[in-house]
Amino acid sequence: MSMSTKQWVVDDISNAALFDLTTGDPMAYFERLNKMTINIDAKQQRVYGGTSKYSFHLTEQDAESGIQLENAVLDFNQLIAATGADISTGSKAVPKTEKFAVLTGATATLSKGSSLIATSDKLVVASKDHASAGMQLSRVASAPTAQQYSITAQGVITFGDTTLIGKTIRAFYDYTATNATSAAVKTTTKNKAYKFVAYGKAIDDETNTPFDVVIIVHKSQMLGTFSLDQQRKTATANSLELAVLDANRADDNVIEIIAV
Amino acid sequence: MTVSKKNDGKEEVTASSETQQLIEEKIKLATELGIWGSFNPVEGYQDTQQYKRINEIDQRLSEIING
Repeated sequence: MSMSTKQWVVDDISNAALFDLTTGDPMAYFERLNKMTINIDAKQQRVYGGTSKYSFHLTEQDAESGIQLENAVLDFNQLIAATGADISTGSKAVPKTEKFAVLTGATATLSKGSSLIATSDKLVVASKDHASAGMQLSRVASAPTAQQYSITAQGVITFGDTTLIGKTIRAFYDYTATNATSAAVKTTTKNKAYKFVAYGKAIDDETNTPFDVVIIVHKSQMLGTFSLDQQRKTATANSLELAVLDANRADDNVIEIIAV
Repeated sequence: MTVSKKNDGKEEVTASSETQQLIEEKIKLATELGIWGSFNPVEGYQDTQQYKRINEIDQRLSEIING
């Protein structure tokens, strides 16, 4: 039996994809990975006996192999593949908040006023140097007093307090987006198992030859937490952990690493 | 105020005139309480009859305008 001469360095990270186990259809593609770690577990339990301080045998334990992915972008396909979330496209109520200055005439217009959802608006005086600082103003149909405002269907606000002119207001409201895409994780949401494939480019340092290195996990399913990370001054990094499962294949293969 | 005669001869105050009347009353009350145009309220203004009446007017204006 000869030894494999395949040795390589992967300078960059692989792209990866998830495929439906039944149809083979691609379900998610990861092309902005920060980090990918595939752990091949082979836990053993030491067995001791007699007078020796050293174990004389290792008893094999169940394998808990897994794949950890850290992705620099979030796309819906990835979220759906990982969590089983329902995706829908169409009209959607979208919450919005904004801060604006009150204009001459004690008026202001919400930036999404044209698609404002009626009675969703809540206004708070944001300027700290105003007598009503921090106060929530009440919406009325007409003739607002100093702590009231009226608003048209188009999101044009008239304030009752003229001393608010030039001061800032914080608004919270909902508007209707006609063509939004949303993914909903529900109480009944259940994630599925997928075939995982990582597509890597490797190079042999001695021969300076580039070649493909592909890792196949025949069955994997999300394990643990799918994190949606936001941190200031830091790019998005979403992490996902997949457990390696037994695919019940005739050849018993679970993980394959193919170097071309 | 707009007043019209109905077929049965009774006088009817139209919605627009009622709105105008309510707004005028509200402005008068709010001015008395120091909450019209700017916020300089009289002490305990929220416990006054005028303030309760302003809330009633707001309710009625909402019914008239928003239906």
